[in-house]
Amino acid sequence: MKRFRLLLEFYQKSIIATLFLIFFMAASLFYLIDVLGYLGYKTYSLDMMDSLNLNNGVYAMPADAFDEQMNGYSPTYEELLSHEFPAIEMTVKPSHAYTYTPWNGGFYVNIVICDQEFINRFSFVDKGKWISQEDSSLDAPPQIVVGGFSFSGANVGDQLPFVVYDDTTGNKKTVHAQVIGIDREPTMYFALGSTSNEIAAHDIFYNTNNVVYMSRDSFIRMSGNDLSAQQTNFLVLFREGATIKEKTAVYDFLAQHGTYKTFQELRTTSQQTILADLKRELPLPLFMLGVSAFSMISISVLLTKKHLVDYRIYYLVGYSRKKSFGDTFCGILGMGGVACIINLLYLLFLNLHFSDLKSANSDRYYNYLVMNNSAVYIVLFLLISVFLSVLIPFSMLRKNSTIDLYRRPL
Amino acid sequence: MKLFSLSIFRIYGYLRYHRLTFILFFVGITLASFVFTYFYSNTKQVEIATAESRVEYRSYMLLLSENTPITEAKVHLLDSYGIKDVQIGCSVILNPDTLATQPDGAEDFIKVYALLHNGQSLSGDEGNPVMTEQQLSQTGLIIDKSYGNTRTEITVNGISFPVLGTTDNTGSTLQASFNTYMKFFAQADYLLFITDHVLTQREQAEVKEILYGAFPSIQTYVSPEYFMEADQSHSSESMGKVSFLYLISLLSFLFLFQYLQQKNYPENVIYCLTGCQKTSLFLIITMEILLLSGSACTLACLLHHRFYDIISEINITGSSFVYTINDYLLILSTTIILAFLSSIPFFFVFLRGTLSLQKTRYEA
Repeated sequence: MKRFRLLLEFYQKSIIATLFLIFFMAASLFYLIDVLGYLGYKTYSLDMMDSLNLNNGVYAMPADAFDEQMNGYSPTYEELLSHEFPAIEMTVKPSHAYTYTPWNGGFYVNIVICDQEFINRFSFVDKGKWISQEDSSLDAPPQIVVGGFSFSGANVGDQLPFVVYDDTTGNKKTVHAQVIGIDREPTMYFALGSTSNEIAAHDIFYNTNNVVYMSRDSFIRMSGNDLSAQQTNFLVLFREGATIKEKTAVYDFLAQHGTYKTFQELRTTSQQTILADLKRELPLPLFMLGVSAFSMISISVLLTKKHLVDYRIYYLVGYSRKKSFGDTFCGILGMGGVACIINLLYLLFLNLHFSDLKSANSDRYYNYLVMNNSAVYIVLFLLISVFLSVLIPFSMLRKNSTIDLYRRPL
Repeated sequence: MKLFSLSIFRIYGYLRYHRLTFILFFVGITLASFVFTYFYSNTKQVEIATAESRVEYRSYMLLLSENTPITEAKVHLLDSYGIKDVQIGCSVILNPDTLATQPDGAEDFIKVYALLHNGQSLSGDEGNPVMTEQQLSQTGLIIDKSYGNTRTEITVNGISFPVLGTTDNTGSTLQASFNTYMKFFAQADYLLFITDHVLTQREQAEVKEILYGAFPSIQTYVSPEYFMEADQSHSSESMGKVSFLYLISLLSFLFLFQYLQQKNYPENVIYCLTGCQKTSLFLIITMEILLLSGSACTLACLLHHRFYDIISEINITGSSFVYTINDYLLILSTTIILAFLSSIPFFFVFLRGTLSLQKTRYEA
């Protein structure tokens, strides 16, 4: 208690400056978390491409007629399949559906319906197992892999209810599906709906509150029909060793029927976007952190200078120099520590309430990913700034012996 | 002059007797000035856009209330200002079988467009030509793929045109060569003039007058002025944010200045005892603040200028904005004013109270 009161006295010498520093440092770190969240979303999308080994292929954007697009039918895709190009290993064109679950307060759910090739090629699961066509018997509940904040309370083995329309009666009915795997945060929705000359990784993998992966068989068993929506765009993955000539034949075909971007072009666009964002977003929080770190060094010196007068009395009544070092360190650590704790709590709050925040303020949090590694940067910043801040005060304490403190005017 | 000398003397005193505190304070305010100087260029949106010769700063768009007959002379109205390209468009009617492939309501937006110089500059100076040389020499239209990939002809306004090619994602529009357009349509409810450089405000006013004179049925007129005003407003907002950042940064270090001033209390007491007015004391401290913030900002500007090649690499403005001596002077004067404003609360603390109170404060 005595030490705590001494610690408080350390700040009382310049309480406004201390509070101001805490506020400024907390604001700088808060801003850094936001910028990292924004940039992290874009870089994570690019990392997804790497982790899924999407490096040899193209993102095709066929220009099919409007009515065909609306029916989810792509003549270009069908024609591409009929050509049986030797360069193509597989094509990826998942279907999507939308339904409602009354589970955990109720929310609408994005469903990605996977065909066999998709199931074999990809795996969006961190816990449990990935879906398969084989293990779904007619009696067993449909099997699903879930991801996103909305499903954060779900566990492998849980049976979750979904509301679907009963074709025979026209009424709603509740069907249960079994969770066999979980895609842990950050969860990206795999979607091929964007068409642009500037298509980037974050247009294919974008942030979502929830996603459910299931096989087509499971979907039909759950909903009683196959009414899913198909996106007109698709991925073409080349087989290893495909020659340039073979690939060119595919490029020519796609160019005749629309546009396409190779994965390399897509990657380049993503990198350019990230670089531009870095230049636009990062300098401000970095400068703010620089100023607040230097301000912390200055205020630490100021407080120590003011406190030296007290130390000459403390030393006389038996206070050791070691303790004075300890108090100074704790005092300096406390200033940065409060700012960091505020931001770590903010990060925790983001983790717990991100889906609520996103629905309440979608503009701010739509292109955003909660970057938990921001906590590492926060702690790192704290350690570095505290280390720099104690250097001068420690040398001041070391230089002035008790007798010096008495003799020299402070 | 006496006040100036006293201020210099006091600053010298800080450097001599409170070196560490003074150096920390000076480096701190130099850092704050450097941040201000760095972000200053981000507030100059209009200058950057002008330097980059952005297409929206060179575009003059007219929407007419209805299709109006147009002659070639009207397309060349602004040639004396240096024209890069002119796009003209008119609403057309498609025959029912073609329209059936379009979404409901699309008939209201179906237009034929043509470009005087084939659109090489529409999306910047390195834009791609819209039509090939062969397509330009033929009579026909380029259609969007949403009309169907295999279509060989299309009927527009009751006239059948061969399909010269297809494009995608152009929103149901049709493209004709300039000659075809003038021969078969020769009317417009949309015009876009793109100059080859950004015109001065006076020239922009002249252009507006010419266009309103030539096209009395203008419903909407969008000129660079519109984008410049929007950018200017954005710039003012950015300047406010940067100034706020500077103020906050400066306040972080003014506590050190307050400490230095506290060390000057005995000196202030002596000044007052020898007849110095509080106003004069206020002026001395003000002079100190101005001298210190001014020299810190000068140092920051010199560093910024010296390392501009590296700094411009990491800034979004890149090399589009070059700092002139006027910019640095503006930065200097702004920082001095802001420094003065931010130190006002501290003045009240220093100058409040009697001589004995100041003495007591120092001894405490």
